[in-house]
Amino acid sequence: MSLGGKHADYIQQETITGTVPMLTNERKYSFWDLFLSTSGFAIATWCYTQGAYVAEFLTFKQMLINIFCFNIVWVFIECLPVLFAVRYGIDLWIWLRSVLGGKGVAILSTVISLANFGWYAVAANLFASSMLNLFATFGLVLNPVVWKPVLGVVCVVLGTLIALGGPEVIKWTNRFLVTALLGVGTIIVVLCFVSVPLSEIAAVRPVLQPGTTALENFMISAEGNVAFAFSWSTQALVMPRLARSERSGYWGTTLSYGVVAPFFVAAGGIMALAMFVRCGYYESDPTTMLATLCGPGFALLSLLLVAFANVGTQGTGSYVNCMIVKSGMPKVSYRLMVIIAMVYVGALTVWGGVEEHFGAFISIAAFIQAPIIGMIVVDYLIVRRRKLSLKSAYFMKGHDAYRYTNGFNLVGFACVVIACVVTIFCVYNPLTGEIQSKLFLVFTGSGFDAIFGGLLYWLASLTPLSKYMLRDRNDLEIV
Amino acid sequence: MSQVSIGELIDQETERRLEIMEREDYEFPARIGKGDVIAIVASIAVSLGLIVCCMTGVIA
Repeated sequence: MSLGGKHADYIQQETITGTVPMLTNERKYSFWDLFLSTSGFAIATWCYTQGAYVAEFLTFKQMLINIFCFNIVWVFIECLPVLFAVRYGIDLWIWLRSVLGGKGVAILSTVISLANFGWYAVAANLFASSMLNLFATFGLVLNPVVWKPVLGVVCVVLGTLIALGGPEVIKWTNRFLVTALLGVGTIIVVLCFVSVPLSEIAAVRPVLQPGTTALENFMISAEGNVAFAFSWSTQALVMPRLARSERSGYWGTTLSYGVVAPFFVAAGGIMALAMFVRCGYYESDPTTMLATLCGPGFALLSLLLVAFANVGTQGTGSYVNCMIVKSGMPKVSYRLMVIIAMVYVGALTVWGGVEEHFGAFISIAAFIQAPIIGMIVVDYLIVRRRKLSLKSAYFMKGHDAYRYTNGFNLVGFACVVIACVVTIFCVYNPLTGEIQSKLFLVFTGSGFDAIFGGLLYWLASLTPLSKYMLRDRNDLEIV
Repeated sequence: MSQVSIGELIDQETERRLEIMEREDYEFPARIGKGDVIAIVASIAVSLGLIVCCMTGVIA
């Protein structure tokens, strides 16, 4: 291959799996492509687990409202800056260089991705559990101490192969996988209602723990759903750059995270309530719930599909998170990053510790992401009003608006830290699950964290600090 | 490839693409319409209304 050919190949790779802006005529994803790819990423076994957890605290109607409405509100808001990503063909971590600074993005994107990869270790462990159950159904009982880590690593390797293939392989994998999964999810819900009448499911009343109120139960469940919605946020900012229009980018992303993922959470909740009616206890293991409610044959099929959904999640998640880290370290090869991610997630999978502390893990990850969500929405709509200096965002010669103090936007960083600290000490502690103030009963902990982070950032822009934050107003060439 | 570093290659290509985007005849992807904005606002408003109904005990 000629030198020019090698360059062209490299540029092509950097456009699809790197930070180089993607031009309009290069976009590969229609609404359906983005919707199915993102849904494939969003659907994993943990959706059922999350739904079963919420079902214990709420009535049937409250559960559905809690799951769908909190997810819709936050996902629809946090994804507004997706419109920018589609317009300029860049991921929003490039935009975040203006909010956090170049080094700020490098550090936070790495920290957040290291935390995000914990999700994929959980997905790999759930894949392994599902496969062990499937083998047991066929009479092949495997020792979980040996085989669970092995099967988990197999899931990680399969996901890595998908990620190495890039967006085109992800698109085609998810076209088939997600269509099948949506069908299975719908059939599960129908079978639950056939197995246990809707009137009996709707009649289940949650048991209040001593000293708790119905509102506290509702908002504690909401905290889980808001954290769930926030967990997508930083990852939601990557794939829309592949979309052909703002409409397909926004709706393909929001309907996946705001409706499809919650649909599977709701399916888990409905199964848990149906199990309670049928057996008198709540169950969170999807394997047991499906086998009891739908019979072993259907349970087998659905588990097989859900197990492979975890592989799809692994592949898309690896692509998305490596792209996030790449926004902070653009000169590192995408392939190398995917391989490093495979080793890291494989190690977490064999360790198994993330799964043990899943609740605390999801809350902590959401708490770091929440103020960034608030700030980027405020920055996009109010402070910078949808206008960014793209040349400064790429640190091009003569465009220095985002070269902040040693690479850190101190104002943006301070807002993140203050919002997290105030929320943990004054509103809700995600480590202990302790409610510190009645503000939690209005906003939830993660919700307050996001609103407070955005509010602080907006207030800072009204003070003389705006001279530090908005040095780009005379450098807006591409709008 | 050996004469141009990866970093320089990325920078050159980024600069070239930004120049293309600066041209007057460059077509950005189609913007969202009023209908989309209405759908977004309505979805959020209805969801918030239902949440408030649950919080105040109207929906039990």
